[in-house]
This record gives sequence, structure tokens and C-alpha cells, in this order.
Amino acid sequence: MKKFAFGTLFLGVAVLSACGNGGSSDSDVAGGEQELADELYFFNWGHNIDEQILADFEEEFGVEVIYDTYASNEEMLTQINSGAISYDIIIPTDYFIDRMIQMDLLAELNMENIPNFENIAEEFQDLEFDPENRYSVPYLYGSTGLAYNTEVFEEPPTSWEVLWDPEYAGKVTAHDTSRDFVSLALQRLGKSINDLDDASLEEAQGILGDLNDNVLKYTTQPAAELISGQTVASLAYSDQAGIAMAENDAIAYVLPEEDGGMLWMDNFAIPSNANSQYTAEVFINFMLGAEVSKMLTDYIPSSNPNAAARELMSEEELSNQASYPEIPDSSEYYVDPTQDETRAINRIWNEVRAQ
Amino acid sequence: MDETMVEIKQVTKSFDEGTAVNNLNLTIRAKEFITILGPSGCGKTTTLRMIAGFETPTSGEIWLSDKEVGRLEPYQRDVNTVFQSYSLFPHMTVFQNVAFGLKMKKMKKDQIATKVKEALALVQLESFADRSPKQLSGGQQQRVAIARAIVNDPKVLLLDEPLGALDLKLRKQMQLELKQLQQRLGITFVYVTHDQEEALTMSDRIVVMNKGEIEQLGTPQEIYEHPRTPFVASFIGEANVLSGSVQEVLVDHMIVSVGDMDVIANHNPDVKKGDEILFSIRPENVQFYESKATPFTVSTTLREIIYAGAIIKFICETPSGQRLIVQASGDRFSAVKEGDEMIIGWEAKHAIVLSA
Amino acid sequence: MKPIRNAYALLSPAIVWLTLFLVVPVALITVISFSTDGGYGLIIYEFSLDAYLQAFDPFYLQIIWQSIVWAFVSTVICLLVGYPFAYFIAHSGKWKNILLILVMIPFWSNLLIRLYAWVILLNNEGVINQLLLSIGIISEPITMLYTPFSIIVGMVYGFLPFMILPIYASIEQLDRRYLEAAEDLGAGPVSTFLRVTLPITMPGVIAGVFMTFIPAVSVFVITDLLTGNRLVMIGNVIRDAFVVEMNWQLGSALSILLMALVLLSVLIFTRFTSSRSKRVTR
Repeated sequence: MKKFAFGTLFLGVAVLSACGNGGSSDSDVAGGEQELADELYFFNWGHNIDEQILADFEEEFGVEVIYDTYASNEEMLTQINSGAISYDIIIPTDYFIDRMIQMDLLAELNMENIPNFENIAEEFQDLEFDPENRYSVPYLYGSTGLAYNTEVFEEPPTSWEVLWDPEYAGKVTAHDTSRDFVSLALQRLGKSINDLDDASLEEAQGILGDLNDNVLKYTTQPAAELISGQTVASLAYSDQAGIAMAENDAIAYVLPEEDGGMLWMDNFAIPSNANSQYTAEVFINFMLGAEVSKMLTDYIPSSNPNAAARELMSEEELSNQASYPEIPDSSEYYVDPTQDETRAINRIWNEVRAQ
Repeated sequence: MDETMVEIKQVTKSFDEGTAVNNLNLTIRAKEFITILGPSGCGKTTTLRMIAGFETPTSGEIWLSDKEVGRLEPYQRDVNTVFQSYSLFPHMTVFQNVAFGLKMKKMKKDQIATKVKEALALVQLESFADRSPKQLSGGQQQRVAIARAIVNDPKVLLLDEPLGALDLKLRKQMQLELKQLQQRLGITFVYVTHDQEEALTMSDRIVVMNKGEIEQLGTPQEIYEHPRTPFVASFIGEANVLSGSVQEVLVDHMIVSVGDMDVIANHNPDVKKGDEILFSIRPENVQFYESKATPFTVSTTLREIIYAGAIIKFICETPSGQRLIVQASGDRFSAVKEGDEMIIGWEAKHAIVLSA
Repeated sequence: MKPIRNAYALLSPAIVWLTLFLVVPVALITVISFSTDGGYGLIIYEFSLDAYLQAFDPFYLQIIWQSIVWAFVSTVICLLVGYPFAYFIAHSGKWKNILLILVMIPFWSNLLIRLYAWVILLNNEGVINQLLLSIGIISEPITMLYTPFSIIVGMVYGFLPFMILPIYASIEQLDRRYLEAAEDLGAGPVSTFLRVTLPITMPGVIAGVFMTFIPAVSVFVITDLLTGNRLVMIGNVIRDAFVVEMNWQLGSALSILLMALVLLSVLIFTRFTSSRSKRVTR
């Protein structure tokens, strides 16, 4: 019934407005004995899992996993909206969980089916984008900080300010994503990355022109230039920093102490039009097992929020500064901006570069 | 009148595929209409293109007036060409086409306008100045091409089969116009064609070329009436070419035996008794006789009658199997039929000895 | 009646193709551009001009203008490089086919991959700089990547084949006898080229200019990679409207606006270049 209603993009709109509340309570009511479905539709970021894990799940539970990937949250949302395929599991990023909750696109989880949730470290439970984890469970997390060359910076930089420093003109890079770009300025101004009111944004734009003059280029893959020494400091995702650090010992990674840096979290979630919420919950529980979760970060350079999995890790693994950096108190997760805020951020990004 | 305009000295042109023109010597006089005639591949177009400058001689010299031009570019030569395909510039009006050469000479605008108008008047196309070439008929395009060339007052006008694309009636009319134009302008015309009738009609002199060499040079009358070689004899009009041995050389004629019959031929000072010769007789110069009483007539069998309007052609076969074409007019012979015995003969002066 | 129906039958694959890949997408974009924004890519089918009100923003118009300028500069350079190149190919006898294949070979691999090759070439540590350094022509690397120079290199590289091929086709079809006629009438090589070759091959030039200019206006892959995302083209803005802002209405309206402007420039350009031939057919 629900699947049919979401069958087309156009009908999707109608259904959204028609059943605005509680479209996700079916499985709660059902309770008791539930059966696994034959198939599980899993929609994940590209390069974000060791597929052996999926094979193991298939073997253990006799459920065939149909695995598709996407390259951005927006692409995933477009797919979910179109309703062409009803996925059982998706992996939205923090602020996108927020957005999809508000759009009534996520099912409320039945935690009775996910006892392994207790494996998640306490600091990663009950985060601002999904209080009490009603709709999502942490998958992997990471940070967005500063990758730098220790031959140039003897002490770890404590602020994004180095990216502005004219001494390093043409030797620094920043991300080619508007949100990260604007966040650099917000944090440097001592504001929250979620302070998106007009005044804050205007102030941020005021100092971004100088940053623009300083950067060599905008990229989310700064590793190559860092390794070659062409750049000395880069805004970097923790996993990119990890790649650079593995290739060049002089590279280090830090979340700048004063400004904080950004945190991000990818999360399991179940679309409200999933075929089998129960099977999805069984799958999430399976994924949260200590062994399985460790397998995940053995393969993916992201950080593991699973305390039980971390207990299985070696000292060396846990001391990797890219995966497990010190997290300053001022580090923040993104909260979903409104569409107007997104447009304003994008506009700053374009205006600064077009000057 | 006898002033030399173009002189081609020992010119040879070789391409990868072979020699197109072989050791050619030709003197073209001022104000004459000379036609280079020959079958395709004889080297006539190559010769013309060497005069124009589109081809460079492999060896030899080309003189234009008193200047050696063999290695100059086309735009450095005082000659103009009317092309077979007209080659009118499609993006220009008729006026612009004709004005092109004058513009290249940096002539003043008003002067150009006057000269173009004159040239178009010469070819009767004054009112077509603003048209596009695409809007003109083939004949009109050809006239524009002529105007475009003569407006430059060239010393020599080269015409490369200019009437080849026109239908017969228009071609005949244009032949006359071209001849008149040449006489009025007093320019040297070098005209290339494979159409022998066209050559005979228009030319002061004809150069017959074959296989890269000149076979014969002469007035149309000389060429037609006194072909020097079997090639010329058969290429210009129709000819019966016979071979035989000279029996007797007399003052004004010779007796030649062809197979088992004796016939007469024109006197030729280079020929003596016992020589094996070739000679030709035009079909219209062969006559039918009532009986064998006349000396040097031949008895033949009529094999075929070809009706061609004003004239009729008869193919007659001698006892030895030699076939001759006889051309006659009128209905005198309406009664004859294939298989009839026909007595044929000719006057000695019409049987021209050819050099082999 | 019958022959016409047969003609449609013959044309039907082309008509289906055009409908599927041109008419339908453009119609969809048009419809979306006038629809109401339901938020995050959702479309409410109620007429609205909001998207156009957003699109007619001086900032976007400035970016469109800037994109047109870059596209124009690249097109001009493509023309200046492409015409002689096409001319050379058309006159290269037995080498012609080999040269044509060389022009087309780049199409066999992905543009992105080929652009990364340029990044490697133009880099400060890149092949070109290393070569110049090693033979002592320069003592310090020349910064080429992420500069206007690299934008032009990338765009010219990316679009040159689209300029060369139509021009080549028109030069190839050019009747040599026109050139002989011009020479015969006293025109040297330069005059012959300017007054005969160029005007007669103008249709190829026009086709090449459009085939270069139109994709160049909306390009962003090339400029992103070779400027390190430092240049904002209207292509970036449209892409971001769709995939980042998830505002399909704005993205569609900007697309329609750009299409209209390109169409307008095509019209002006053809008017301008055909004014001469108009005179001929008067």
C-alpha cells in the first residue's frame, strides 16, 4: 500500500501532505513474531563498506542484500523522493537526518530489535540532529579539520587563521563545498557553524574574500598537493588527512583548538516507505556487533563510534590522529539549514569567488 | 599581325602517371584565335594550364610577349581564363564576380563600375548585375565567366572547353558570339576543345594534339583538306584511310595499288615509286559511277545505308574486304539497297597522302 | 499525400530521437521552471513565477555574462587555431585520414580523465615545467595551473574538435577551381583566402562557432578542474541549484534563461554573418 503510494514522484507529494503524521508506526504495533523479508534494499555512500560484511549477513540470515550507492545526500534524497525503488536502509549524514525527519521520510526505529545500540559510545548517542536516536543510529563518523605540514608549522595550528595567512598565499586549500567554506569564516569569527542568520553570514562573507585570495584551489581531495609539498595547510576531511599522513610523515591533522572544526556522522536510517522495517532493524543490529563494526573501519578510513568495536582495536589504531583526533569542545555537527539559508550560503560561495 | 604573343619552347610536363606534354613547341600570334584540339588525355588542357600558370613545366620555357613566364604564379601573368565549369564565385553577385579582377588591380571604384558595365554589355547581361550566379542559366553563367575574364583586358584569353556544358543549340550560338567577340576585342584567344566541329568553325588556326605532341598545325582548311597523319585524318571529320604501294608517280597524281585494285592519289613530292603509303579520302569526296568505264574506279558491294537527314552514308566493301564510307546527298540513290553492286571512285586531288 | 507519409516514415527515427532527447527534457524543464517549489526538489504543479524572479538576479546575470565572455574568448581562439588546422588537414593528401582520426581520438576517452592529464602537464611540478627547468629556459616553475591561461587551454582543448570538424568538412567541399579562378584574376594567396576561401567556407565556420560556443557557455567540468573550482560559471550555478540547494525550479529557470540567451546570440550571429549573402540574393 505504502509502496504503491510512493510509486511516483508526483504522488509522493500528495502522500506527504496527506499522511503528515505517523506514517511509520506499523511495525511498532505489529510487535511479537515478525518474519524476515527475502530481500533487503540497502542504499549507501560509494566506497563505504566492506562488501564481505553483506555476504556474511546474507549467509547468517538468508536475506539477499541488494546494494546500491550514491555520491551525495541530495542524490539519495532525490532517489527516495522519486520512489523508483523502496530502500530499507539508507545512510544519511547528520543534518540530512534532521531534514528527512522534518520531511517525514524516516521511520521511527523499534529499539527492541536493535539491542546492540548499547555498543555505541555514549558521546555519540542522543546528538542534536536526532535527539534520543528515535530515527537513526550512528554508522561512522569523522571530522573536518586542518591537515598541515609539520615542517612549516612546528606547533599544531589552533585556528583556521593559517588559511588566511598571506605568508602561505597559494599554498593552502579549502573545500569546494559552500557550507564548509562559510563555516570556516563563522568559526573563525567565534560563531557557531549553525549561526546562519543574515548578520552572521554577512560578517562571514566579509572575511571570505581574503581567504579566496589565499587559496590555491578548492577541493575535497587535498591529499596529493599536501604530499608533494605544494600546499602546506588544507581544510581536510579526516580520511583525506589519513591518506596524506600515510604517504608523507610530515603531514599531521588537527581540529583547531580555538575554532573547533566540524564533525560529521553518517547514520543508519529506515525510510518510512521501506518494505521491511523489521529486516532493516535486524540488519542494523547485525552491523552494530563489535566484530562486524570493527571490520567496517578496518576497511574504511573513517572513525568508529562503536565502543565495543574500539575495544577490539590495537593501541596503534586508536592513536591514529586522523581517525581519532582530540575533539575540542567547540567542535560541532551541522544542523540542517533551511532552503533559504542554503541558498544564502551558496550565494556567498559564488559571490566571493566571482569577485 | 604576325607579332608573336605566346611562345612555347621545348616544353615537357610530366606527372607521376606519365608525360602529359612532350617537347612541345608552339608559337601563337597576336590577335589570333587558335584552338588546341585533341581527344581527352592528349595534353591540350595541360598546355593551357601551363600558359595560365596552374601547372609549371617540367622543362622548357613559356614566353608571353617578351617575358618568360613559365615559373610565375597565375596572378603574376597577364592572361585570363574562362573555365569549363565557369567557376563563378557563389558568394558574389554577377557584378562582384566581374569586378573581382579589377579590384585585385586596385582600380578605382567608379572606374571599376564603368568597366564592369561595359563588359556585361558586351555579353548582353547589363541587367543581371545584381543577381547571384545561382539564379542564372548555364549560358548566362558562361557569359558572366567571359565578361569576368575580358574585363581585365588580358593579352591572352584562355578558354578551357567553355561550351562543353551547354546544349547543342546554345553551343552553336555561343560559338558565333565568341568568334565575333574575339574579332571585336582583338585579343588572342587560345581555345581548348575536343570538338572538331567547334574548332573548324571558330579558329584562325588549329593545333591538333595527340599523346602529348602536336600532330598538325594549320588553318581549319589545311587541317581538314590536307591532314598530315592518319590521326588527324580520322579525328577531324570522317575519313577513309587506305594503305597501298605506289605503282607510278606522274606529274599531278600517282597510281597506287590497294590490295588487288589500282586507284589514284594526289601527287606528293616526298613519295617515289615502290613506297608503301597511307592516304585518306573524305566520304563526301567519294563518288558513285554508272559503270566501270571510268579508269581507277572500284567495284564494291553495298553493305549498309546510314540515313542522316540531309545526307546519306553508304558503307561499301571492296572484293578484298576493305570498307569505305561514301557520302552523298539527295534522293538519287533512294532505290539502291544493301547487297547492290556500286562502282566508286575519286579525283586524285582528294586522296591525300599521310605521313605514317 | 502518399510520398509525404513515406517521408515521415523515413524521418520517424529522427523525430523519435529528437522528441525523446530534446523536446521532452526541454518541456520538462520549462514546466518545472514555472511550477511551485515544494522544497528540496519537490514539485507542486501550481503556476509560479518565483523561480524567474530569483533567476533575474543581477548577480546571476553577471555570472551569465562572465560565462559568455569566457565562452566567446575560447571560441575565438578555437577558431583561430581550428581554421588553419582544418585547412591543413584538408590539404594534407594521404595523411588526411590519419590526421582526422587524431582529431577524433580524444573522444574515445572521458573528458575528465583527459583534463586530469592537463593538470599533470600544467602543474608547477608538471611535465612542462620540469622540462623547461631541466633545459634551463626558466629557473623557477611558471604557474600555469589554476590561472586564466589554464582555463583557456582547457576550454580550447575540450572544444577544438567541434570547431575543426565542421570547418574541415566545408574546406574539403570547397571546389579548388574557385581558387584557381581567383588566382587567375590576379588574387595572391592572401586575397584568395580572404575573398574566396573564407567566405565560401563560412557555413562551416558558423557551425563550428556554435558547436564550440554553446557547450562552452554552460561548461563547468573543465573550469572546475583547471581553476581548482575558483571560477564561477553559470553551469556551476545551475548545477548547484539542482544538487546542492535542491531548488529545481531555480535551476530550471536559469537553464531556460541561458537557453534563451544562447538562442538569441545565435540569431544575432546568423543575421550578422548572413547579411552579405542576403545582398547577393536580393
